[in-house]
Amino acid sequence: MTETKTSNTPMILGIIGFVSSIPGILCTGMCAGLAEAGGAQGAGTTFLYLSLLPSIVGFIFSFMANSKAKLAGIVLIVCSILLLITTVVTFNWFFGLITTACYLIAGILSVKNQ
Amino acid sequence: MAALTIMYSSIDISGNIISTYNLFLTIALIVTVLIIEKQFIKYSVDNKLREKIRLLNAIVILSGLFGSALFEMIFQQKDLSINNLFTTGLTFYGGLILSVIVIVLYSLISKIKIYYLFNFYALPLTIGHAIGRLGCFFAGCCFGSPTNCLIGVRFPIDSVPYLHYHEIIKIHPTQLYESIGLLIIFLILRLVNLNKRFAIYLLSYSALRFVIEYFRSDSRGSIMDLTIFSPAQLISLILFIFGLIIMKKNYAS
Repeated sequence: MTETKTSNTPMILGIIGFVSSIPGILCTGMCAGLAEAGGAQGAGTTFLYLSLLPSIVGFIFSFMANSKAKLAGIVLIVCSILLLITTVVTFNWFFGLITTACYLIAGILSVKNQ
Repeated sequence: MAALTIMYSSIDISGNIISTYNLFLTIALIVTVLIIEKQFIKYSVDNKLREKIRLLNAIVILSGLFGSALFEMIFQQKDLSINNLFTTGLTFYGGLILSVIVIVLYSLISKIKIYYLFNFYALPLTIGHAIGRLGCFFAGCCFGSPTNCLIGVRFPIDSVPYLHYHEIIKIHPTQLYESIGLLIIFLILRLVNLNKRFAIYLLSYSALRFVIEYFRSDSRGSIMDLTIFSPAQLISLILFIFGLIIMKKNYAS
């Protein structure tokens, strides 16, 4: 039986990106909550889920980078872009950039790995 | 052991605070998945099964984290809100219980034998947990009761134990006790047949945890206002019984 070539790098990057997104999501929620207090109704919840969802989805797809390389790669790249947007909007640049970079690199590696 | 007064509960990079706890959590998760990958090679797992287990890894990690936070909120009688979910601590047994439920459901859907998955995860779970407990030590959570023994540790001002005791005193480093105990369990499990790992893990960890609970002094929470045992000790007793049942089943077959 021939062994399919696999890489653990997207999975490891997915883990690093996901864990570093947790403080980022907290910060996003808090910043958006302040905006909500300032009159932007629903902003808190919206931005919390806007950063939580791509974080979780990207994490799961990083584990599928070997079986569904192209799909996982595209999803990871989309998630990284979504996380970059929430990062810029809420000025949570440090942790957001780590997650964005990790997911983006994992996505590119995954697409190249197909 | 010399008194420890410098604890890096966080690392400051140009004003950005990285929690040491999160750092060790990341390392623990990475080591866990790498050991799973190594087990794939060791036990000649075919590609299709590998992909199913890889997907399960992601789901188990998420459910473990969610379960840990959920149980902590329940035991500490906090409001079940999304804000509390992200700011509360983690309870290992909560994560374990929810992950076990997830594994059972996944095995039914994917038609992989339940005990195969439990035995497969026993070894990586143990080492991941051991590394995670080091994160607890640096964060100062899960701390022990006061002691004058040689291996007592002093946590610094503004640490979680200091905020609890309001002074710097020597306390049991229960996080290290558990980490070392888990490392010993890991080494034992490596020598044991794959089919017996989960049973031995349940028996050994539940016993270890039951004993360590007597040395812990952080808020233990409560179940149904019972005070004779902490919630973790009650769960340990239940898991020990489960371990005995699985062990008996292993020997019978």
